Amino acid sequence: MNNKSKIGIKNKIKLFGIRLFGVMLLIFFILAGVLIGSLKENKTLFDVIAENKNKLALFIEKIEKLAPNETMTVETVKAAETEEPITDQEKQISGQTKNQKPSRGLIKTKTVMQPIINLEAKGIYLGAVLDNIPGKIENLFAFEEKIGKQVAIVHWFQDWSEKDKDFKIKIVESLWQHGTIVLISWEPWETTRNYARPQPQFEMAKIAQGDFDPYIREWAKAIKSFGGPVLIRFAHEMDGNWYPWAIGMNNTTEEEYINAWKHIHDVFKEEKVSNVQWVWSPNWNDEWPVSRYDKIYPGDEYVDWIGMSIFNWGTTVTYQKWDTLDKRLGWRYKLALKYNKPIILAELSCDETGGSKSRWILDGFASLKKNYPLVKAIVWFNYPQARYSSQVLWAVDSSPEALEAFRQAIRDPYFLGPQFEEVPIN
Amino acid sequence: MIYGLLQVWELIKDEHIHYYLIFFLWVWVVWLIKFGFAKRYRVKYTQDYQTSVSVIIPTYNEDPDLFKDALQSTVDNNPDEIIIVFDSPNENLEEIARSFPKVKTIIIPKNGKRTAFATGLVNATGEIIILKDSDTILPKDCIRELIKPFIDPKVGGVTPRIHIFNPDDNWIRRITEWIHDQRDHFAASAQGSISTVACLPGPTCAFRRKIILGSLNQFLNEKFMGTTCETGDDRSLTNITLKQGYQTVFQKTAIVYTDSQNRFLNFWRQQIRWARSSQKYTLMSLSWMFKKPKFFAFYLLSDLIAPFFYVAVLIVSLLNLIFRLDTFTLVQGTILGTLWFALISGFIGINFSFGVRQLSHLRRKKADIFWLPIYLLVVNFILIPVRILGFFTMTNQQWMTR
Repeated sequence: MNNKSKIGIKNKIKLFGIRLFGVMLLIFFILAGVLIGSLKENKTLFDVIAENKNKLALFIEKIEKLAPNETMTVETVKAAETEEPITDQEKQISGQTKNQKPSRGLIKTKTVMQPIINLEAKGIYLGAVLDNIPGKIENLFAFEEKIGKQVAIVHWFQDWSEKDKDFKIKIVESLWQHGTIVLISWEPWETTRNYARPQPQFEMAKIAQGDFDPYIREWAKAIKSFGGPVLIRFAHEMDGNWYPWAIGMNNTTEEEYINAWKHIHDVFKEEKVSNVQWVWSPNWNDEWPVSRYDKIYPGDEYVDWIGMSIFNWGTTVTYQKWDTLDKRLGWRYKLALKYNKPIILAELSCDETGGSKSRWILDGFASLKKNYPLVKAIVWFNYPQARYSSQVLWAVDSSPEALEAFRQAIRDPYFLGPQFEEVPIN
Repeated sequence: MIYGLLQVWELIKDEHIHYYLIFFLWVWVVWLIKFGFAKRYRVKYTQDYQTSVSVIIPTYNEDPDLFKDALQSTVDNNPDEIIIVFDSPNENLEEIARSFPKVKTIIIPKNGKRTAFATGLVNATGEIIILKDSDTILPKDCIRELIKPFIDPKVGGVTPRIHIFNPDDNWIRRITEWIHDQRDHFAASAQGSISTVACLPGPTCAFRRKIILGSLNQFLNEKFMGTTCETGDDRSLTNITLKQGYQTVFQKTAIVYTDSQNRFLNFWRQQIRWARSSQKYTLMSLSWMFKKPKFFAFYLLSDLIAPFFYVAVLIVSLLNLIFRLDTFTLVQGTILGTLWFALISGFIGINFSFGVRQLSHLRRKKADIFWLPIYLLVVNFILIPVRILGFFTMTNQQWMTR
């Protein structure tokens, strides 16, 4: 069989053409499939690759960790965290050069990856309110382990009382090292179980006229020196009747509230802070005797995010009932649409009693993705047992079914973990 | 199948179409069209045709007993002439051949099946030439049935039904018989219904001598992209016939029994050889296939594209699994959403969908219902992927099983 006869360049090209056609045909069908799959997820293959880039970066870091290196990586933070208390870890960080911003690193390159909130990204940033955060960062790692995904945002509540009023820059930095951005509900009161008790020392009028300026300025400076993005949710649920800063409490008027907000904003501006994002988060009372949400909106230039608290109280609390996420969120979302700002569900949770929590989560999260394009972040309110409302089971692992549902729901890449941006090393 | 329903459900509910569903629909639509044509097939030629017939048997390394039986069965059919062309001398077989007085033997130095056939052809005298493998047994009156269509001067080539003898000996024979049964009742019937059968397979096929004789040079020196064509002689003869404007028909009333591979490795080699030549000749017939009935081109081209589509669907499914794309939001969190359930129900579903398409075969051979999963695996993981492999290596000319 004499087949090794000379084929000739022309035929070689033709043969190459045929094979190329075969490859193209295969690629065509694969691309078509990927595209059709993407339609459903509302994201393209490139998004998926981009998402997995972070995983890749983490993986590279893990490998680099094996090689001796002075620069700290996420894993070393984690290791230090799990073995030793927070104070030791803070020491480690404070050992770093003061003026150098903490950076998680693809070491040996000229750029580093830094966590950001990119509103262009398709998806919803995932966050959590966790027990004893900012106290024990291990709780965050344990939570992430539990839900099978790293969260982008961690949210805590911090009041203005003398006890614990400083901006916790060390913790914020170490969280940032881990890839996490903080959202702080900044509460002008002294935390108490007796909500409705007036606290005249924190009157909105006093804030507006500058009584708290040194304190506010301290925060502004600290946030500026930190350098990474910080979300601040000042005096939330101000149209309810339970916090002392709410309209009608402490003699606060709508005008005073707006003035206080604007004043704080201006102080930050004076300090040239550009890395803070303001979350205005009313309770969305439509026909409430206290105030209507739209009478207390500080204005487009003073607000970066629209916040909401979405709780399905179930039937544990007698005066409440089981509602779907859509039922709780739908009308608020409609009201918020007119501001055309990204929406953060700064507190989101569901009770166990009165219906299926796992169904609530699965349906709710699927609906979030499908029906609420302006919702760009959600924060699960994960107190194991509600601190302020006795028996309601807010935690995501209140039952194995609920936890499994949550894991499954957020496995959808639409729910974003930390997103990173490449920035050059200075 | 549950997943199929889920996909339809999502299509209606979320207006989202899954890729697999598109593939599934495509397979079924193509199949239904072909099935429709196959159903239209009727045996057109029932009248005897008196003519002269030469049987040419190119022979190379055959089992002596089988060779003798096959030859005896041919002699019993009483053709005008039987010519055995030995592709390289083989004393043992020559002796058997000489024991039949009517049989002519020609011995050539080893030069390939095409040359052996051509040598027989130039020495043959009959109007009709039957090319037959040395391992193929012709039942009584087979040749009489086979040549009936030639009464129509438009007919240039005829193919009979081809079966495997002793199909139950081992699983490879069983599967091969199944493949042949499908070829008869589906491909050959569908293409036969428009009198344009794309391949008159080598075990036994009949041609008008003058057609082949006029293109003998082309047949012997056929080139594809500069490489000499060695395998695929049956497809080549069919192409020559069709290209000259003749019809090729399927004569369902003629049945032959041929041998099959018994070892998996040989089965694999045979499949890849078929895949190579089938796709090669489809490409070679591109220049004229559109002058034939449109269904002919549809059949060949859909067969050419199908494996690519199929393999792409597999790859996409894998990608989706890895990246968690295109998931079923409706069943997330229930047992229906687990991978195991998907795999098991998917396999059952495919068996069902496949089984429906194999119903006519299963009716003919009921015991094969237990073999359906095996046949399915062979088709999906050997017959289809091998075509991709064949596509990229189609200039490879090795027989491998000879």
